[in-house]
Amino acid sequence: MENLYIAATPSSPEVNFDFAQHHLSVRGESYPENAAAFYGDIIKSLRDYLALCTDTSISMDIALAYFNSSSTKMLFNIFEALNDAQRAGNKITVNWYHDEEDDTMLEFGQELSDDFTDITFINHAV
Amino acid sequence: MSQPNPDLFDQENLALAAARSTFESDTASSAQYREALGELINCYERLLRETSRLIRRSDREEFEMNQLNNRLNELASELEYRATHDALTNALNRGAVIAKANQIIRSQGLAIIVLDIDFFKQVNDSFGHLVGDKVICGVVEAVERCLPESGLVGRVGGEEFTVLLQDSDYTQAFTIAEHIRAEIAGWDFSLPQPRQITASFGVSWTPAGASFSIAYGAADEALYKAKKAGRNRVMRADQL
Repeated sequence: MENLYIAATPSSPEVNFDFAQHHLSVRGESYPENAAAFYGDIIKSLRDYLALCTDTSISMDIALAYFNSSSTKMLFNIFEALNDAQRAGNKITVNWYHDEEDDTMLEFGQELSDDFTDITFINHAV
Repeated sequence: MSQPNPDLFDQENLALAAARSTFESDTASSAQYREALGELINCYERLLRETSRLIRRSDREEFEMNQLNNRLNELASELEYRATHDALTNALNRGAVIAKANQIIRSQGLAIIVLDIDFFKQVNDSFGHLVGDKVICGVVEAVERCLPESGLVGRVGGEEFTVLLQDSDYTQAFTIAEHIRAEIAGWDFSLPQPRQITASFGVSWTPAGASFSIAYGAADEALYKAKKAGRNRVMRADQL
């Protein structure tokens, strides 16, 4: 399956889904004009890729310095997809990066970890 | 490809449409109704969970933003204060005096008193700059004591000050200047050696709409005359 790479813009993150290496990353800031449109195709690609995975170790790096509410809603969909893939027998690790002084981001990562219990969350303060 | 107009709530709308379609069906079995209800419950629970996470996060962000905003406002007013006030005396600085005078003179008459400490260089030379600074602060304090509520004082040069009186006519401004002169002459500056500090004064009054620089020039000329006439005195620009 072809890898997915979308360069960062001032309002949207860099998306680098290296499906061949089973290494996915989203980094930057996220407040695109239309979050549903921006993330729609990304989540579709992610789901297509995950559907092909069996017994695979997959890592997802999330390093977002800022994301707005619409992006948050789409992030839930990404985690839902990852959680489903874990239940289907894969091993999903999410690396949650946040600024060491950003408690709000730290707590949000912890809440995601509470909600999506099948995924392994690793917190990274940077 | 995604749908033509992706929406944040596509998933919820799909679930709603499915539930409605079963609801409106006359022929669905009880198992089908039950299944539709189950799916709706799942979707509702998910929506509830996500909404509560979203709101908690937004509340926190909003709180932090609010705090940062308050701090920003504090810093902005501090910066504005520093940009308009003399650091030594906290009187208005030269730029602020000119801006304020121009603003007042646009709509009303303005009396200006300019004053200069007599033989200030000798004070500095005899006692040093620290004592000189103390004298300058003392002069501002003495001036402030004599001002009406709407009066303003600014430090426009090393030992030169300007008083703006927007509610005073010539006679009142002269009286205030005289009062300030006497206050300074009698002020205890706690100098290392006994020595009287005095100042010389020039007063002008200008009607609304006139030029501030001409008004200031007139008061300054009166001050010059006060110095020439022996210092520690007040001169009116209209009586030179």
